[in-house]
Amino acid sequence: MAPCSKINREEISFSVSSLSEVDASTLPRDKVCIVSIFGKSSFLANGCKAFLIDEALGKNIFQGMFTDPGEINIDEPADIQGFYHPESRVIFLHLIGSFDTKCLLQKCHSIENELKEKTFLEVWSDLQCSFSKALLLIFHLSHIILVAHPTTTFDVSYIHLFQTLDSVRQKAVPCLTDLLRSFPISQDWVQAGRPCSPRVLFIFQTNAPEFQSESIDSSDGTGKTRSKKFPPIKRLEHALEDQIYRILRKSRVITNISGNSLFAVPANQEFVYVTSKKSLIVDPLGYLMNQLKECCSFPKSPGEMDPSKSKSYLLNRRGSIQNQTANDLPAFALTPEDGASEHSFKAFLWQHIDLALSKGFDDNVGRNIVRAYFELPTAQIWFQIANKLKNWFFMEPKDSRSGAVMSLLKTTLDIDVRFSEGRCAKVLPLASAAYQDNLPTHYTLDYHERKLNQALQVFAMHARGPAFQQFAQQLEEDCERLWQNGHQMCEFRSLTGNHCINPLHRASEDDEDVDDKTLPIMPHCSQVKMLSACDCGRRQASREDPFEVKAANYSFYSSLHDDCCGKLERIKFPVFTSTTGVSRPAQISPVQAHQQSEETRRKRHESQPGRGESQVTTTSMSLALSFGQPGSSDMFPTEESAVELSQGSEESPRQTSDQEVIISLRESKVTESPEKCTGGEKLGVLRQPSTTEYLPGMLHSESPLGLLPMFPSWSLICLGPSSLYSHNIGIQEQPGFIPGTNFLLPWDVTVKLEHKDRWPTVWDGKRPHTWKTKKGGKDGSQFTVKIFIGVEYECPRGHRFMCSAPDKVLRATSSGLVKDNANKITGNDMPLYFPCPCRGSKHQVAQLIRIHVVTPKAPVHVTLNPRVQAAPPPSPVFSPGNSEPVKLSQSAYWVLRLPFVYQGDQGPYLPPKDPVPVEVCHLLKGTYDIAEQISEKS
Amino acid sequence: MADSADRGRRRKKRLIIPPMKPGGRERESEQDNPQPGKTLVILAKPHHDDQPHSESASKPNEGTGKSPARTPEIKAPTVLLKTRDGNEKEGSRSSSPGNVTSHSTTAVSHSSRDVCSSTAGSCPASSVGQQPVYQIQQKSGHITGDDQKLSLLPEMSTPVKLVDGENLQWCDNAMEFLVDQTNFYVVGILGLQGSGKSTVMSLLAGQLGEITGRQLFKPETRELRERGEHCTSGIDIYVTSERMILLDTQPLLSASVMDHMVQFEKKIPCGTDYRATENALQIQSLQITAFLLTVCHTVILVQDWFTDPNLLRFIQSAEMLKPATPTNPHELSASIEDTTDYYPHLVFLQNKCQRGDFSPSTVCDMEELLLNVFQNSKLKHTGSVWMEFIPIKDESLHMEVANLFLLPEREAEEKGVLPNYRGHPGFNSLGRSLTQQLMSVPRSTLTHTALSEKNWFHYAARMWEAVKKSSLFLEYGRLLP
Ligand SMILES: [Zn+2]
Ligand SMILES: [Zn+2]
Ligand SMILES: [Zn+2]
Repeated sequence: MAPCSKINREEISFSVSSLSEVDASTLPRDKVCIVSIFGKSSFLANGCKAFLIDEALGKNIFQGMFTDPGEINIDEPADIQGFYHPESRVIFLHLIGSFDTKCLLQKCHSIENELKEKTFLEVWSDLQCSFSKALLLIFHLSHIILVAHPTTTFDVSYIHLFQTLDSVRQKAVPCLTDLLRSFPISQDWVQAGRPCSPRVLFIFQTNAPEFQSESIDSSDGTGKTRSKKFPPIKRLEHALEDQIYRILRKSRVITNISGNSLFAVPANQEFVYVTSKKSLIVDPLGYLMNQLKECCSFPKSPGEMDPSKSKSYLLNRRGSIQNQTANDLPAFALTPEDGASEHSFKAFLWQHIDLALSKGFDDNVGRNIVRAYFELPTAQIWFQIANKLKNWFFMEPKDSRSGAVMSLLKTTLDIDVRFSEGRCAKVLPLASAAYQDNLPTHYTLDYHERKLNQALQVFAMHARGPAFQQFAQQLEEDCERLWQNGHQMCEFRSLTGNHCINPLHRASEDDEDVDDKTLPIMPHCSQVKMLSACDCGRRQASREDPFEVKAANYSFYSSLHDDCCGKLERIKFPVFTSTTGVSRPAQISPVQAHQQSEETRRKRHESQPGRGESQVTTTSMSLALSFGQPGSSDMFPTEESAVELSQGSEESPRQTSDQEVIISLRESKVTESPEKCTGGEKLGVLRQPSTTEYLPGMLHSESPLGLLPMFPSWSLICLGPSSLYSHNIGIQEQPGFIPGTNFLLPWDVTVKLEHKDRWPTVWDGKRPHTWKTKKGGKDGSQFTVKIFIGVEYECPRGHRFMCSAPDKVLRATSSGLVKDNANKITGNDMPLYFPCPCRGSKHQVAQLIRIHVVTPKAPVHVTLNPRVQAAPPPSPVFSPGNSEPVKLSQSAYWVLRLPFVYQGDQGPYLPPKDPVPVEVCHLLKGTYDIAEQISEKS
Repeated sequence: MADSADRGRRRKKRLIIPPMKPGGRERESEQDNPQPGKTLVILAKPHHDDQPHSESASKPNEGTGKSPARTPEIKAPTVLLKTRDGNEKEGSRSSSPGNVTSHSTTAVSHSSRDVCSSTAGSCPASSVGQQPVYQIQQKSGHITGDDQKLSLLPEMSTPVKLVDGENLQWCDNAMEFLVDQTNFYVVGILGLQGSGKSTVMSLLAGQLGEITGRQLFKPETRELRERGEHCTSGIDIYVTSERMILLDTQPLLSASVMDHMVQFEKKIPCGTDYRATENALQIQSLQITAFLLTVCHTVILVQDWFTDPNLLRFIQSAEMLKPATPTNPHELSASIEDTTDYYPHLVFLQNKCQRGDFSPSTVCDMEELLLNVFQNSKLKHTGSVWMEFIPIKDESLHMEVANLFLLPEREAEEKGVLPNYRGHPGFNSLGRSLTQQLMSVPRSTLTHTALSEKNWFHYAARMWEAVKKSSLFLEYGRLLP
């Protein structure tokens, strides 16, 4: 209008994100109309919805710009491309954002990690929020807004979006008014925050064949006479217009007074346009193919192709195509827009643009006196305003008022997340209640976890959506806190594997397992009661589940001494005796112990086995079960070899085929003979007992030398004369025996006294069978003795029984006869644990607890050298601490009581949970032997 | 075009399980009918006689001419392996759609042949050539009236209403077409207006017909399209002779449906709880979707462009709102895993695809987008349906493939001298592939106990009521603007 030498009348392409780069001062002072376009676009459309505008202008404006994925600025809420066309006095804005599939894919790329953690519902709400900010900007800067649909149906999801935008817009007005005050624009604009209530036009696309050509006859073969006044595409447009108008009115997106609404639609002009054209960008290949086909079918002269009409829309579509073929392509242009054409987009759009540039819009309906506000800015002003508004909408809100606007936007859009949070918050107390329901005053970790699981189930049942994880975690934390806050059970494991049922407490003042020093001090208690017989086996008494070795292996039994076997003859096993009156537990250091790597933890474990360790023990035991190794003395190979070579001239039992055992006795003193390298004996002999330090825990092959325990875990007692036992009747006066199992087994041993001078030392155990029988009896030094042996098991309920073999319970026949002999129990490792044959609801595990020996009246001693492998190697071998095999007096009934629990340095070795034989826990063979009656000689 | 070697590679990668137990279906039948053998269904699939993919495959009665003439024995289609849920990753998919088992020896020969074709992979007939279009054999000829059992199995001529469109009430009409057997397969379809739901459902039923002809589920007529109106309202049900239960639904979030509400001031279904029509529409759409996600083995989400992010989000909103799978009070399990809700397979069907859609890079991009968007969804959206003829870009990277399938526009016969380059094997061929693949999707049980068809119907009715009354939708509706 006002030509000036400086004025730049060139068309400008720009991006709204870099508006400041546009030099507004040189722009013409013409008033301009702003036309924006947004909408959803298919993946193939590459985000472009504005091809119709390109067509209308006959220029390649927007299609060319959005080609390369790298060109989208994904940091901005959305990319708005602009084009100023001074000739028609229009600024076009093309919004590209998450609604464009191509753009969505790129956003997904850029937030890949976020998508892994968040649900799409959350992510989408963020994306939609960004997109809505761009939309708000557009709605405040435009006169005409085109909503592009990739189909022919109105997208009703826009209703909620429009409603949201409108509520946010109304809240934003004061902020915008402040921003706009400084610009030379009308008060209406300043007060409303926008130049007008924009007109929204809807664009649809169709591929349906009946809409393809506008010239097609509208008769559709049905023969029905319908309004032939309009072609089908026109009828569709009118139908859509009616539909959209009703829907927008009903949902109050548009109202009588356009100024009060987000936008308006014209009352008397078309606002729906359906195009049957395809954007070239969607199917460039198809276009080329068709061109090619046409060329082949009907050769045309190049002149007919009319290359002048347009630039190739394809040029920018794909780099490769562009580079290779751009120059050779026949220009294929759109048919030039004919303004007079019946159904042209240009005509459709420009009727609105023309009106805007002339009279302006007044889309109020009804009897309204108010005239709608409408204003056209100059391009200069518009660019400045656009830049200012863009910053306000896109930047982080600077003041609380704008912050409130933006958070309103976010909340209104965030329906799914809000729903989920509301839902979860509602369910959380329910789930918590499920946890607290019927809660005992204190309970175990296991119970806690089961309850928590229940609570989580209740939660999962009713909770929904993206907030699920967060609230589930809170539930977990809540329950855990509740449990730990005074409801925790002690759960300290007893030596038999039961846990303490007291509330969390300290066992003593200096309990190292508990950090909290405010907890009360009380002893552990599992409330499990067991029935056990005394040392000699003649009296049963119930006992508490032991938490300490002393209680388990010593105190209980000594408490019965008064009533029963206290006065009987006993062989005492070595224990610590204080000479100075001072005694303290030894600090066991790594140096002292052989093969111990975890010495620092040792003491603690010995005195107070922790929960964790006992668990480990159980596991390793059951694991070892599966190895199926026959428990054997393989770990003492030296014994075998010693016998074979007869080097040490030891007494050695030899089992022969006729089930007799021949034992050669020599006169040499056992004590002087070279050490056998068995763990048990080494223990006994080499130990120089300390008189100030005692061994915490039990004696075993890994115990440091020179330390003795404070108390014996074993007991060896003489019941009385051998006549106490009658093989016809069985064991008498021993309560708890399962009927038919109360017998000892005969062990016939042929004894031959050998002397060095009589027999060559090279003589070894491989004497032929015949040799023995022939010579036997002639010599007075050879005779047979009968020993009775019983290996007794006891279950926690007090059931007792004997075993006749490692895998067999001893059973007398119905007439009370016992056919077995003791060879299998003397010649084999005997299992430490055996399923109790008692019939209870739960099968019990019985433990080898006593060895009964009735010694013969003969000039020999029966010796006992018990060693127990309580867990698979490399766990230690337990022994009573005898330095040599213990000799039993002749013609007497002896009972060896074994420890009730076995505790190593790593904690107790627990019995198996299920009553199955444990292959690796054994009383090792070699327990029984015969020794010459030396005591009389020496 | 698809090179068969490639197809073979993909198949192998998914661990084909050779065609299952022959006669799996027969056993079902035997349960129903004390006298197995003669009668039951005569739903032979057309024999897959190595005839190359003829376009006429979808014409009725093609192929049936053979089997009835040949044997009076029962031809029961082997209906795929039921795999346990969760095994899908291993892709227990039977690639033997043409597998026809019958009594006695034929079964063996057929299945063994299928083993060959599926494992060989390069056999061109293995996927495309097999006839996926199942047809109902006419009750005639060899089927004699004395067989009462036959009449027990009802045959449907047209779909009936499951949920009526007026006020969304449950209809019991379909009950008479259901029987007490447990080997059935429920497929539901969801989509926006005009995306081609009814057409796809007709295709699955094998009754698509000619472009202009009648199809099983009525598509929008031209007139309706000109008025911008929808066709299907409520939910339609059709049971095929293969015991595939097809559920066709009214369009989601449809302007036309909403316009009807507005225009006719209809008493808004699903309640007066939603004052605003647009909210009522959204809730109603969510309810239909949630219902389908509850009672279908497979739900197809059909779109005619790729892709409306709102729709993808909408599906996940419905996933969030769908009713919990009722637990059997007898098995109050201790672990959470046991009480997990049921989630169906979700197949993304792109209908009316254009040439450009079929380019491998585009398909890969689509897959990627879907995988991203559904990453945290529990709907089983991967590994059961895929584009067989499109090579995977990088097999090692693409361990997961979204259930994406592309169907082109149905085109009329090519008339020109030069055939058009289509970029795909054609609608009919792809339609067969889709049907086949859908039939092979592993079926998990919808509830904790196995249902018979009739049980399913009762269960579905209960779920529909549950959805309509669910407080979740009320809560959700209150948050709408
Ligand atoms: Zn305790
Ligand atoms: Zn006693
Ligand atoms: Zn017992």
